[in-house]
Amino acid sequence: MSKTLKGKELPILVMWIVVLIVFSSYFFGGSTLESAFKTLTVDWAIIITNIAIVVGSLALMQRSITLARREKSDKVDRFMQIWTVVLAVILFIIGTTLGIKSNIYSWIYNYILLPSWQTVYTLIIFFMATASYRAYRANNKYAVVLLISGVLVLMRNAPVGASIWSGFQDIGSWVLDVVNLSGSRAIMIGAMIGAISLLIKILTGREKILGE
Amino acid sequence: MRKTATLQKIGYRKIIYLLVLLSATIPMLYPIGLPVIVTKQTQDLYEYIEKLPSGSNVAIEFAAYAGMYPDAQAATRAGLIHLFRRPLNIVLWHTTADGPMLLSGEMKYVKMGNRVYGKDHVFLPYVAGSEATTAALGTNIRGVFKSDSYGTPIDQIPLMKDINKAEDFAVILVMASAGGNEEWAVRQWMIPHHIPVGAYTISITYPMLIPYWRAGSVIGMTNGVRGGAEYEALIGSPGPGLRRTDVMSSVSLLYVALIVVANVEMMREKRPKQ
Amino acid sequence: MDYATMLGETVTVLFIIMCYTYLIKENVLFKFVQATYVGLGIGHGLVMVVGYLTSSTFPAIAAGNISLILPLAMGLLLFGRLKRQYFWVYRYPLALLVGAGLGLQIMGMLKASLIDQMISTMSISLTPNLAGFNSVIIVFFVIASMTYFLFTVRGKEPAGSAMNPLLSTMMKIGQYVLMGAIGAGFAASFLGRLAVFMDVLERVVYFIPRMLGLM
Repeated sequence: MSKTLKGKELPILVMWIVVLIVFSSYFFGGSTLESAFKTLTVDWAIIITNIAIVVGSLALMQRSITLARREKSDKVDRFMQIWTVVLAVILFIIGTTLGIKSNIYSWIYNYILLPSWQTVYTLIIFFMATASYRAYRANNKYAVVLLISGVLVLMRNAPVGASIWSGFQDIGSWVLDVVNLSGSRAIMIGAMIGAISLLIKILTGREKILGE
Repeated sequence: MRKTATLQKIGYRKIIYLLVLLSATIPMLYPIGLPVIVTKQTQDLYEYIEKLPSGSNVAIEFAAYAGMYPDAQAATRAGLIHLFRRPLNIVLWHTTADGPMLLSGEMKYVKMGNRVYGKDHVFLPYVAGSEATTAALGTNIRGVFKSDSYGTPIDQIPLMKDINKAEDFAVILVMASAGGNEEWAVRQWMIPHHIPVGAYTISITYPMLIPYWRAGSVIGMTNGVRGGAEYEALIGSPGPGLRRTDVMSSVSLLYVALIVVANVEMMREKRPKQ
Repeated sequence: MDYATMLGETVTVLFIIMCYTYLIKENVLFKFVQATYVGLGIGHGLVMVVGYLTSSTFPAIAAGNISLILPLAMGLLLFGRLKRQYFWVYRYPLALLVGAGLGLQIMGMLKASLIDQMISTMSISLTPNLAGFNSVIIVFFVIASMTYFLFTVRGKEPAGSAMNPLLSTMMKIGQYVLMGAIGAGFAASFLGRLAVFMDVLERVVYFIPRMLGLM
């Protein structure tokens, strides 16, 4: 019995039931199926998704503590891991006791969290600039097409493009509305076929998605 | 010899970083104010909202993600100003943890006029965003939210008396999403319930929405900062979008120049030595 | 400007400068900023989610909707993720989420990503203008790109390339179209990051004017 519970067959059966409810309610309708669909999405999926975020956050903190306890780690790195956990706990206490609309919570969010997060995100701009000089070289025909389309779309989006030459707006729009559209559509249709094949693989147990 | 040695010591990377900083800082201090041409996608979105009949119910999914928010900030702010200016009923909810904090920053710029909370606009709280959440909101809002952001039970809010599902709205607008939410809205509101989708989106998502716009699933969308500048121009309310277009232009020119210089160097290296 | 705002703006500028020191060399200042935003981000996420559960789910259960205890119990099984010996319990709620997510996604994708896209692609306008020309080109480009996806086998020569020159030509054109689409995506990605960079830089550039009350 415990072997059955611990195996992957029962979870796959749960997946089958859920997928059948979702598909049946869409293709066949009917009050029973629609009610089952609503219960599944409104009640179950949302509550479980929210708890999943809690678990994910705790897993991150658990990992930080594990790394901090490792003696091989650098002292600075160990301090940073502990600092991460301490800050998470402090902000959680402030948020749940004083509320997110409190002055201190807003202050921490607007003046520390938000700018730090965004600044780390923007580091890539500098690396893209060096890549523009070192790596974006038209070594073959495909690279030429990639670079030209990228430059045309850049010039179309930047207002200076229209000031330099009005053609940038029209040609850039053509690249977006025809070339990009065609490529995106093909990718979308391909992704659609890929999603169906992934679903079949998951439902037949061929895909290791349940952490085996 | 000394100059070359110094340059080599500094390295081309640092020089490029400095160029990026200068190309962004100078237009900030000395703006030029280049004109912005409004694209069809932004125009379509603006006109759709402009033509909505008075009293139409508008759903807003505020999906702002702090890391990428500045890209959609201008369009989001302009969109909120436009929507609250028109006589529309607005129901807004958050599907990202950052949404409530970021929205409170934007609402300072929105003029409420004669609006009364609860009668013509409602702010619902945060719920973890996913395709299932979007589907659930399309079928039963009360199943997802029991009260608004201020703790008032939904059944006590006058505006929500006749609103509980997608069909009760004229349009759903996805604001500031970092990707995915617009497609969820198309798949879970447009396809099953036939509610049109509009998007105030970031530059990264914009090319992916063009097929949906062409197919008619998305009525219109803005394109990052540029789209925000266009929307600000359309509503006549200058903001961060129009302010940042000069910086956008100068940094874009720098990148194009770097690509051109690199490729010219490459062609010179490939030329056979005489 | 009040003291809290002045302090806040100063702390923001300090954090931004500390973060950009990474461009010179990875250092402890950058690691500190990174650890700070990761910790605060985790805390903020927890606050928001717990807020939702306490404002929506628990009151509903207290009001008599006992059926919500089932999904709550199912969700608590996710905590099995944190301990290796209980990892197996985590599979059940995960199976539900994966099933619901994939099912909903494919259900919507069938129309939005497949049928509507094919209808839109096949809507050819035979008018003698740019719109007509574009509609014909789009059909051709989409078919060429799809050909590249369907007939390319990893690690082997593309199927049919030696036998069918039309097929191999279509595949080459499809590759060019996909490169064009990827180029447009690169430009879009760059512009997105640039927007965030402008916002961050403004905080530093306008810091002194703000402190002096000039802005």
